[in-house]
Amino acid sequence: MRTSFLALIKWVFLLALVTLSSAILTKVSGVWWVAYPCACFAGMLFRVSWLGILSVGLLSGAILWLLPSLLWIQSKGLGFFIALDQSMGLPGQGFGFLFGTALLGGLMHTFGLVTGQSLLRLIKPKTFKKRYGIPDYRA
Amino acid sequence: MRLFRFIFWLLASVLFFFVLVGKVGPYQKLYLWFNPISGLSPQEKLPDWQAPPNQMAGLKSSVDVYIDSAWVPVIYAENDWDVYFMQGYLSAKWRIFQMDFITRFAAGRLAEIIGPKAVDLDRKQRFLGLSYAAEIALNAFEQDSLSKLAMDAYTAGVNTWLSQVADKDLPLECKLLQYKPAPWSNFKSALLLKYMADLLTGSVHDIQVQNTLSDFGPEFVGQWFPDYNPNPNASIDPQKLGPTSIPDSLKAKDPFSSYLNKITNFEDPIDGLGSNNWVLDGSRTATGKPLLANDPHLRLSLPSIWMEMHLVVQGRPVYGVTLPGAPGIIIGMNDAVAWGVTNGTVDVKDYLAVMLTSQHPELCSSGDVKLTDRFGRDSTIAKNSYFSGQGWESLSYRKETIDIKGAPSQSFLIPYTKFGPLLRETVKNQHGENLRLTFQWTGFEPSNELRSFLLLNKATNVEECLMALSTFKCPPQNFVFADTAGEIALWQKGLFPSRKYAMGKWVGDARNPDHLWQGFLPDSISPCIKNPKRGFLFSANQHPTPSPYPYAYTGFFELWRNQRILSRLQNAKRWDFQDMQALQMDSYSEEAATLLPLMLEKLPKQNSPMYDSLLQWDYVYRAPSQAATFFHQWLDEFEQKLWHPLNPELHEIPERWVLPYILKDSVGTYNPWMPKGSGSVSQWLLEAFKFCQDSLAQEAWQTFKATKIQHLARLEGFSVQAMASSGHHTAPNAMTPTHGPSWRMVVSLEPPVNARVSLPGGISGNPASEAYYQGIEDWSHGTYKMVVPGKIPEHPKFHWKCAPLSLP
Repeated sequence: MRTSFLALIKWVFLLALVTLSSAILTKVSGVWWVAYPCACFAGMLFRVSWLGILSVGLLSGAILWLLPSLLWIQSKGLGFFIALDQSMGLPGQGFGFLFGTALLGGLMHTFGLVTGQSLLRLIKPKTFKKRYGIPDYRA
Repeated sequence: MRLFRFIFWLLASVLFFFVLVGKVGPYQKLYLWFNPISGLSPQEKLPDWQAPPNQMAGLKSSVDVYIDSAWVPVIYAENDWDVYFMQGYLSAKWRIFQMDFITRFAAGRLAEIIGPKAVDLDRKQRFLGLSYAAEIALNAFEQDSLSKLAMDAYTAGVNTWLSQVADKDLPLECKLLQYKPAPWSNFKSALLLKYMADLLTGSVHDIQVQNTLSDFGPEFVGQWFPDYNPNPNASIDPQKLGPTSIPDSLKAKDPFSSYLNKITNFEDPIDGLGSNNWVLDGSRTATGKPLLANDPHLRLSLPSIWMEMHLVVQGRPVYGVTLPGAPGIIIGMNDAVAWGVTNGTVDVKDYLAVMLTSQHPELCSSGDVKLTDRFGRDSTIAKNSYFSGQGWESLSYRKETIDIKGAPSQSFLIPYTKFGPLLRETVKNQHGENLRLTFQWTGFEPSNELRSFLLLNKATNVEECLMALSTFKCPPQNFVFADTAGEIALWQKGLFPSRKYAMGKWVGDARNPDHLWQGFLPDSISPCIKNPKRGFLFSANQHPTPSPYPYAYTGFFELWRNQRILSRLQNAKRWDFQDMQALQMDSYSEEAATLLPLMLEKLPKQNSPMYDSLLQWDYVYRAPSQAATFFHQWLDEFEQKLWHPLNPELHEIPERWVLPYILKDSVGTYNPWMPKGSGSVSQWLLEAFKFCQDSLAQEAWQTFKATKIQHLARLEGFSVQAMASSGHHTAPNAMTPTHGPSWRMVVSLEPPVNARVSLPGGISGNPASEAYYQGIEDWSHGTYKMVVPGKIPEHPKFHWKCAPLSLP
C-alpha cells in the first residue's frame, strides 16, 4: 500500500514537473523543442519504471501540445478542427489533427524522459537505493 | 548494456526529431503544423485583433483605426500617405496570403511555394505575359505623383506589417504551405491590377469561332454570329451617337479571305463573369435624389475577392470595397458621389497567326534559340523573324525562370512578337503553311487605372468622376455615377482597338494588314451619356451601343438580365432602398419567360407532374423550385441536340437569342438549323424532355445549383458548400454554382450619402476568425446593412491609435 502510494506521488510529481517546467520554458523562450531537454532533465532526477515514463511522457506532452487547441475548443467549439481535418485530408472529423498533435507532443516528452532516464541509469545505476537505503519504489 | 540503452534512446530521439523537421512521405516539417507555439492550432487571442504598435516608423502623423460593429475597418488619417500606409498595413494583417497567392498566380510563381505540381500552371501563366504587362503599367503608375504616393505608402504599410509579424501569427495557409510571404512591392500592386484586367477580358472566343469558321464555313458564321443580336437594349441612347455609317477606311475587303484551319489545343476562355449597375435620377426616386446600385458578379471565394474599407482623410470619407493589394477604394461612395462598375465585355484581346521565317538573318541577333513551350515541351526556333503586315520583324525574347520548391529551377525563353507572347500552338492556313499563334491585348498598352480609382475616391461631382477616367484603359468597364447635386452618368471606358469590320471574332492573319488593329478609337466616340431624359442608366454587360454603330467591336454580350432590369427601371416611380434591393435580388429569368412558352407550345402535351409544374412556373429561379431545375436541364439538353454537329469543346455555340427564332419556325435568316437532314425542333424538344424526366433527378433548384463559396486555395474545409440560394445567370440575381454578386451596394445620394451593402465574407482571411464567414448568411438571404460614409462608429469593437515613431 505504502509502495503504491509513494509510486503514485512520484508519478504525479514527475507529471507536474515535466508539464509545468516545459510549459513555462516553452512560453518564455518561444522555442517549441525546449520541452525535450526539459523532459531529459526531469527524467534524470530519479528512477522511474518504463510504464511510468511512457504514461508521464505521453500525457504531459499531449497536455502541453494540445493546450491551445483545448482552450480554443472550450470557447469556440470543434468546428475549426473539423474544417482543418477536411482541408488537410486527415481522417477523424476534427480529431485527426488533435490526435496528431497529442501524439507528437507526447512522443517528444517521452523520448526526453527516456533519454534522461537511461542517462541516469548509465551514470548512477543505484542512486536511489544508495542514497535512501530503501528499495526503489518505481512509479 | 546501459550504455547501449542510452545510445539507443539518444539515437531514437534524434530520429524522432528528424521525422519532425524532415520529410515523411508527402509531408514535411510536421513540427510546423503541430507544435503548440506557431502551429496550425489557433491561439485563443487571434492575431487579427491585436493592436498595431502605438508608434510606427512609416507614419507621418497620427492615425486612428476603428473596427466597427460589422468588423469593417475605419481609418482616420491626416494625409494621403498615412491612409494608404495604414490600408496596406491592415490589408496585410488580414489578407497577406490572398495578396501573395494571387500575385504569385498572376506572375507564374506558385511553384516556389507549392512545388513541382504547380510548374505547368506557372508556365502557362508566364505565356500570358502579365508580368510584362505589369512592368509597362508600373512605369506609367510611377510617372504619376498621385499613384506613386499611394503605391509607395501602401507598399510601406504592407512591408511594415511583414517586418513585425511573428511566425506564429502568419496566416494558416502560409503555415500549411510552410512559407513566409515575400516583401510587397509596387510591382505586385500593378500585377494584381493586370491579373484583374486579364480576368475581365479573358472571355475570348476567337479560337472557337475560328474552328467553327473552318468546319462550317463563312456563311454559317455570318448567319449565326452576327455583330448584334436583334434586341441589344444598349446602355447608350442611340441619339447620343455620332455617324452611323461605317467609314470606308474601316471596311474590310473580305474578312473571310484568309481564314485558317482548325485549332485543337487551346485554353478555355474565362466565362461566367458579369455584373449589374444602374442609377436612377431624382425624378424616379422617393427622395428626389439619385439612387445607384451595383453588384459585380465574380467568382465567389473565401476570403472574398473584395475587402470592405472605410477611409477618412482630413474629414473626407470614402467607403466601399477594394482589392487586397491595391490602394484606395475600387467600388463605393464618398460624401458627394457614388460609382459602380460592370465589365464592358468588349473583346480587346485578339489572336493572330504569324508566319516565322529565317530568310532575314539581318534581323536575327542569334541563331537557333532553345525554348520550352507553355506545356513544358522543348522546341527550337530557327526561324526568328516574322511578317507583321507592314514588313519583317525580329522576335524578341524574355527569359523566364521558375523556381521550384524542392526541385531545381527551370529557365526558358518566351519569344515575343510586337503584338505579344508567341504561343506554341501552330495552325495551318488555306495554303497548308504552318503559322504560330500570338495575341495582342490592350493590357499591354501603357495606362493608369489606379489613378482613375484614386481620383474617384476624391471626386466631388459627376464631372470630376468622368474626368478621373481619362487614364483608364484596360479592362473596359461600364462606370455609372451619381452625385448629391442630382446628376447621373454612364461611361463605357476603356481602350478599344480600331478594327476593320468583323475582325477580332476569329484568329487573324498577321500578314494581312486588314486583320491588324488600325490603332485605337478616340475617347470622344466612346459610349458615354449624362442625365438622360428617361431618368435612368444601366448596364448589365449587354451591348454598349445600339446597331448600327460606326466602329466595329466584338465581345460576349449579355442577353437576358438587361431586359429584366430595363423593364423594371422603365416602371420605376418613387423608388427607395427596398425597390433597388428587390431588383438586385430578383431571380426572374427573362430567358425562361421568353423560351419556355415557345418550348411548351412545340412539345406535345405530356401527362406528367413536371409538365404541369412547368405550365405553372412563374420563371423565377427560387431556391426550392423543381420546375426551375427541370427547365434549366431541358433547355441545355435541347440545345445540345439542336447544335449537335458543333462540339462545345471546339466550336462556338450560337448565343441563345437565336432560339426564339428557331422555336417560332421563322423563315429567312433564322431558319431552323437542320444539320442532320432529319428530325425537327419538336422532336428534339420531346427527346430532351423525356431524357430529363426519366434520367435526371428532380431536384430543388438550390440543390442542383449548389452555389459554393470556395476557399482561395481550394481548401474544402474552409469553403462554404452548397448554399441554399435563389438566382440564375439570366436573372438580375445572377447566382451560379461558382459565381454571383460578389458585392451588393445601393447608395442614396440624398445628403448625407448613405448606403445599404452586403458582402459574402468578412474582412479577415483567417478561417478561425469570426470575421471570416461573416456576412455570408445575410448575403444569401438578401439582407443588407446600412452604412454612412464619414460617420464615426458608435460601438466599435476595437479602437487603435498609431503615431509616428518619435525620435529619441
